[in-house]
Parts: sequence; structure tokens; C-alpha cells
Amino acid sequence: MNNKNELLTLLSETLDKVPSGAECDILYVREREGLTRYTQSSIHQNMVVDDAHIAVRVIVDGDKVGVAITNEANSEGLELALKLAEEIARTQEPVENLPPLPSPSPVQEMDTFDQDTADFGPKERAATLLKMFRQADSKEVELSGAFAVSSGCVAVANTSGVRLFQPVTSARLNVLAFSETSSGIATGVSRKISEIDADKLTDAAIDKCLRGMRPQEIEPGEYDVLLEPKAVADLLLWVDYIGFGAKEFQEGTSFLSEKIGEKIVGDNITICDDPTDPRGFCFPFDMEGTPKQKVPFIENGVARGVVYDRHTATREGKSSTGHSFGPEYPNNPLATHIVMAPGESTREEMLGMMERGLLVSRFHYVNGFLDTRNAVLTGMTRDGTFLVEGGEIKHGVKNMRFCDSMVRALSEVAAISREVEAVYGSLSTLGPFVVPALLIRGFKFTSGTDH
Amino acid sequence: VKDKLIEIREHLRKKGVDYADLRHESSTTQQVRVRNDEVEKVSEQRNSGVGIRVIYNGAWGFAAASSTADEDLRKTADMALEVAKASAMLGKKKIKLAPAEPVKGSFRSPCEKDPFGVPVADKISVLLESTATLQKEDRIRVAEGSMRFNRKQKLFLNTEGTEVEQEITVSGGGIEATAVSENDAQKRSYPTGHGGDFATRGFEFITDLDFPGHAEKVREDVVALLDAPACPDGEFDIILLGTQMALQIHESCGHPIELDRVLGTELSYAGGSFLSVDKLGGFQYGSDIVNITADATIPGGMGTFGYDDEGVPAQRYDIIRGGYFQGYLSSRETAPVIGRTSGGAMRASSWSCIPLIRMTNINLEPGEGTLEELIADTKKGLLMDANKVWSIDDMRVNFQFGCEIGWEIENGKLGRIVKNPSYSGITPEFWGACDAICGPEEWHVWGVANCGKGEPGQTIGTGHGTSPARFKSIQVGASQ
Repeated sequence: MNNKNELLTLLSETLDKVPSGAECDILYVREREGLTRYTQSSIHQNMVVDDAHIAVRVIVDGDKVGVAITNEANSEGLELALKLAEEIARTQEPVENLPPLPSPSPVQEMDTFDQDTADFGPKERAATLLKMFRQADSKEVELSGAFAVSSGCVAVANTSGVRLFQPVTSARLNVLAFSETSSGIATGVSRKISEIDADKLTDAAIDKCLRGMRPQEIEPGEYDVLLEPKAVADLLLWVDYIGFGAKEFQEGTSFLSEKIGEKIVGDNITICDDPTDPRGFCFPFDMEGTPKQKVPFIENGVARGVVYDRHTATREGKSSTGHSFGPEYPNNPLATHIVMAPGESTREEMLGMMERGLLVSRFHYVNGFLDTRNAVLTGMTRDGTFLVEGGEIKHGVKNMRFCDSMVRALSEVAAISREVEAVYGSLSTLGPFVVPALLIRGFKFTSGTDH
Repeated sequence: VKDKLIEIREHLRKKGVDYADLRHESSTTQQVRVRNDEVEKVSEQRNSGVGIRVIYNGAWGFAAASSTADEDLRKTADMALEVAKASAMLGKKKIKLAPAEPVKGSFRSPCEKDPFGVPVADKISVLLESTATLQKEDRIRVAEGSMRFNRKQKLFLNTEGTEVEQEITVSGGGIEATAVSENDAQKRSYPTGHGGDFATRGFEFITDLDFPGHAEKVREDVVALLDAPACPDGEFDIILLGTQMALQIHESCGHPIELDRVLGTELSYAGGSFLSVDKLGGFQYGSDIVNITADATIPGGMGTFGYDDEGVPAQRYDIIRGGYFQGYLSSRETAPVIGRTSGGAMRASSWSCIPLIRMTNINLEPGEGTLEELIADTKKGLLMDANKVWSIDDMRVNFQFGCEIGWEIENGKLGRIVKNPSYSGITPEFWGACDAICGPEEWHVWGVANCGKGEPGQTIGTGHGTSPARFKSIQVGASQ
């Protein structure tokens, strides 16, 4: 059910059945996803999935909470979930300082739906890929990747009067080109299928792949690196996960813990969560119905704050910034619209600042639990790593493992690109990050591979 | 539902499909989580739907929907066919499945005490007792405990006549403490991190784990970690306890033996594998004491089932024997590439997902002796426990793993605790350096609840039977 009036009526009718004195909120997410995966320039997985995710939270006696989740998206399913949530709540211990459910607040109008995207089906995906495969054949490389197109809606309703509905679409195309000895990547993401330029992405992936053929081995050590936007996003995904949420901040494991107001990285670093930025899948409210706010994490190198949901905000006597993931995930806010401020450099200028260094297209399998207070990450390069000498890209190099503190690395940023790119994160639940390319001095690589 | 699925199967046969299978799943998941002295979350999730896989003109199509109303089921089947027709527009080679004998059967995982029959209040009580013990130290910032239970009923039919029903119950959980000082934060868990240990068993599994009985040790360890020196860098003989061995097996053996990865179908996402098909039978993966099996039949393992999601019966077979590479995890589509029939490893995390080749229980067979004897036999080294950091390259060769805690070993005795221990290596070199594996008395099947693979992401349980083991001259330290 994606019709606004019908859905909000259904949710209101369910809320009418909440017992007197109890409170309730309902999160309703409906998604129809079409996904085509391809490898060696041939489709190997192709699907359409239609599912709903409905979380019903009931609060009885003011402080006892139960949550039930169902995918039965009709009045019977919702009523059953309501009863189950109430049953669970009645057996609970009281929760101290339980924040009240959000009251209705104005939310910003945002354009998050595109009918052409919703109508883009398996045949259209196949026709796009056929053209891409021909491009690849002509260059004697093979393509692998995924083409995903989704449509659906998010609705939140509660007994305090919140009634919110937002239709959504998204399109994502990942293109990897492979030769015998190299690979190259290009990715595109948008709310609108018309903004996915498959030809351009395919050319970019092929170009990167061909430039990287017959990669050479280089010694591990410290290198200046030009991180392309996808590589920057791969790092920020983990920096976000371990550092930008109130849970980690309050528990003392974040590198921002007890550092607010202090200069922690270079003056040129500004990072925020901006749910209003249309380049990053803007969205007006969180999964509890709180309007989303723009939240600065680092401004000109100074630690400024983290994102909150209602639980974590109450703990500090603050208000939620609108970063809840819904009734199932109390106490676990997460930033999903990371925006990093651009600089003033062109790519050519950044390359020109490198005497000897590496250009990194992306990272693989990054992990940030080694030392979260210093945001130490480790991971591998992948799909296009190049040696740069005298400001010129010389040749591809074999993949390398890095291990470095991001607090240190972000203190050594010598240049930031003026162009930014919306890059899809590695986790499907996160929206694209809007990030520039970074030139970082002395990035630490600890070992290599044979490919 | 079965009658409806049979009707849809006939509908697809009449449409001229080469092959079709239909999988209905209905699951209930209960989660209980406490934080410090409060209940953070009690939830119950019910989820059901049907996934339909079709081969038409040699190409795959898949469609899935939560509704099982007659009209919706037919629409889902027709959509699977439409998707397959779109795939066929680009298919370079026609899909041909390895033969599989049609089977009719059922399977139910062992469950002595129904976890859904145990009152939530009793579960909360066990967790709160544990967190109360964990909190008896000022520097403990957060004490957490959680349990998760899942029961899934599955019905599978295909156009070759296979019809199987399964009911699998999963229980698991763990406790964890976070201690914080001015410049450091440390975590310690029991029985291991990432949510704890899991099994396809009933509540008896939780009772056996005895969270409250282990909370004091967790508290002592995590506070000691705050004051401990950093793990030294350099080459050391290392002993990995079972919790970390499970992760080591999972990442450096389990994933690279997935034949779909080897054949390139995960290249664009998680990557490929160094274990190319030319290595089958002749490649030395590890030392001669390394014997690894894939065993979907072992009772209680998270990778245990009666039939995979292609209706192929569960199997046990060699992956590594005497250090040499002998077998892959495979499916009906991939097995013909290596001249074999399916290894029965196709699993989907839910009805809404395409089955992929997934680990079953990937087990390192036990060697000899106790952990105490192994430590006594180690002149200088490090002992590490409980995974904290995991990172491995896209071909599963270059890895760096970190643990919650380490201990120095000097002249056969455990010494000081060291913090942030990590080690790195190259997969076949690392397994080639394995010179001791403890015996059956130390062997346990660890349940990993959250193995991720595929797009959209699928999370599934895998099992890893192992004893503690020793590896010679390993690079230790992050060298950051």
C-alpha cells in the first residue's frame, strides 16, 4: 500500500484500537526493489521483491515498552502486532526516564519520489545493461556490478498525533570493469533513474581498468594518497559508525567523546549530517517521526557534536536531532546523510601536489574496531590503485593494506577537491555520502597482495 | 499454503519454464536486550512470504512477495517469469543444473526446551543478574546482555518433484562490558563478541552458557585491559582460542571455498577467491595437521539443516585433508564446473532472497592435547581470545584480525594481559604455520549469527567447530 490517504487511514484505525492510557507508534516501510546483478558481462541474478516492514511499539503505564514487528501489511496484521506489542509491554520492567513519543511538528517538504524510476522494470534494466556490455566488448573487458531500482514509502504515526508519509524512489548502478590483470570502478546513485548516466559510468570504469593493467608491486610504507570520493566515503562510513552517534559518544568509545569544542583534526575539515541536501537522498523525518536536523560533527577541525535519537538525547537533557532508526533500535542513532565540505582544488592541481604517492579509487572490507578512541581503521585498496610520480599517474599498483588513525589522517589533509560526488555507502541501509576527493600526506600502508 | 504452491508450480509448468522452485517461509524472532540495569528492548518479529525462482530459456528470474493471497501468488510467479525473460535477453550461456534426485522429506532441529515457552521475565532476570555483576566496578561504563531466538518453518517445492518441510530453532546470546578511562576504551565479552554464541538448539543452550556465572571474569578482564600494556609488534608464535579460530576459519577458509565467489558471481561486491578451480586436489592450503570439513549434519550447528534451499540433502565432506585443498561449497548450478553434484550449500536468509552458496558448518578437526598442555609447550608467544577486528582482501588472501584480549606466554606460562592484540598474514602461509591443534576435549562448534553476503545483503548463521590452535612466527601488531 503506497497511497498516502489509504495508508494513514489504516495506521489511524490501528491506533484507535490502542487501549486507553497506553501510547503507541507505528513505523511502516514498504519497498519494491528490482535488482539485476551481472558478472562477466552477463546477468546472473535478477529479481523483484515486494515486502513491508512494520514496527509497532506500545507503552503501557507510562514506562513499560513492547515492540512487535510484522510484514503483514493489512488491518489484521497490524492489529495482531498491536496486541503482541501490548502483551510484551505488560510483562516489562519500567524504563527510567523514558522519553515521550514525538508530538506533531512541521517537517520540510521534500521531493523524494520519481514516477519514471518507480516504473523502471526488469526489461529496462536489461536494455541498459545490453548497451553497457557492448561498450565493454569493444574494449575487450568484462563488466560486473549491480543495477538496483526501488520504490516505496515510509510512514510514521503515533498516539500523540504524528501522521507522516513520504514516498521514495532510488536508483543505483555499480559498474566494475575487469581485464585479466586489473579492475576499475564507477558508481552512480540518485532518486531519479534519469540521472544515472550508464554510458559515462561504464566509460569511467573501463578507463580505470585499462589504465591499471599489469599492476606493479610496491613496498608498503607511508605514501601521500589522493583518495577519490568513493575511497573517502568508504572511510567515513566507519568513522560515522564508530564516532558520530550519541551512543558511542556517551559510552566513551567515540573519538569525539569528551572532545567537543576541541580542535581534533585539520582546519580544512568540516563534516556534518545534512538530511536536507538533495544530493544525498534528502529525507524530512526519522523513523520515530522527529524532524531531521542538520548536525555538524567537525567544523574547521573542531569537534562540534553527534546525532541523537530520543533516548540518547534524554540522557543528556537534549532534544533528538531526528536520527532514530525506529522502535526496534532504541538508543542507537546513526548519521545517514554525511556531507563533507569541498575545498578549492581541481583533480589536476591535487595530482600536481604529489611528488610520489598513490591514487586510491576505493577501499575494501574496512574495519574500525581496533582502537575507536583514535579512529584507527584497517582495510584494503581495490579496483584501481595507481602510482603517481611528479604529478602524473604512472601505472597501476597491486592492492595494499592500510592501517592508520583517521584522526591523524584528517590532520594531514593537504588539499580537498572543489567537486563532490554522491557515493553509495557499502551498507544498503545508508544513503549516499556527499564527499570530495582528499589529498592526505603520509597515509600508512602495512602490507601488500599479489593482485 | 502447500496446496497453493502446488497450484502455482503447475501454473509455471504450463507457462513452459525449464525449472521452477517455490519456497514459503514463516519465522518468529524474539530479541531481549538489557543495558546496565534497564531493559533496553524486548521485541518479537513475525515475517512470512514466498520466493519463486524460475529458469526460462536458460536464464534465471526471481520474484518474492509477502502476500500469499491467490491472486498475489500468481502475480509473483508471473513476475519471476518476466524477470527470467529479461535475463534471457542478455544470457551468454544457458543455465543447466546438476542432476539431483527428487526428495520428499522433513527436518526439525533439536530443541529440548522451547525458547518461546520461557517467560520473557525469566530471560530478563538472567541478563540483569549478569549486568549487575558486570557493573560492580566504577570504570565500567556500559554493561550489556542480549538473547535472540528464532524459529523458522520452511516449505520447498520444485518442478522436479522435490517437496521438503523444515523447522529450525535458533537460540543464542551473550554479555559484554565496556570500560573507559581518560584515553582508552576497552570491551570484553562472554562467550564471544558480535552478540555471543548461537546454535540451532532450544533454551537449553542459553542455560548451558550460564551468563551470570561468567560475568565476574568479564569484568575483571575488561578493567585489566584498561591498565594493560599495548600488545607488542613483531613475530610471535600465537595461540588462538576457539572464539577467534572460528573467525579465522570463517574468513580465510569458509568464504574462499564458496564456488560462486570462485566463479566470479560476487566479484563486484565481496570479491572473488584465490582458490581457483585449478587448485582443487593439488593445492597445499595448510600444514599436514590441517583437516577441515563442511558438515551440515552436525546437531546444533548454525549451518545445520536437513535440506538446502534447492532441496538438496545436507552433507558432510572434506574441504582440506592433510593440508591439501579437496572441495568447495557448491550449488546445482556451479557443481558441474568441477564435475561434481551439488554440495548442498545453497541457502537464503529469507523467503525474499535468492539462495546463494553459503557456509554450512566449516569445521577444523581436532588434534591432540589440552590448551594447558599447548601453552606449556610454548616457550614465547601470545594467546589471543574473542574477535574484535576483521578485515581481509577481496581474494581472501591478505588479512588483519584483532582480538579483545591477549596474554603473553613466557616459558610455557601465561603472563601479562596485553590490549588491542592483532595479527596479520597471508592465508595459505598462515595455515601452513599451524603446528598444533588441541584435542576433542577443547572442541566446540561456534555459532556465527551474522555472516553477510550478496546484494541485497543477506545475513545468515554459520557454524565453525574448532579447538584452540597454534601458529608459528606470525606478524603481530597493527604497525600503524
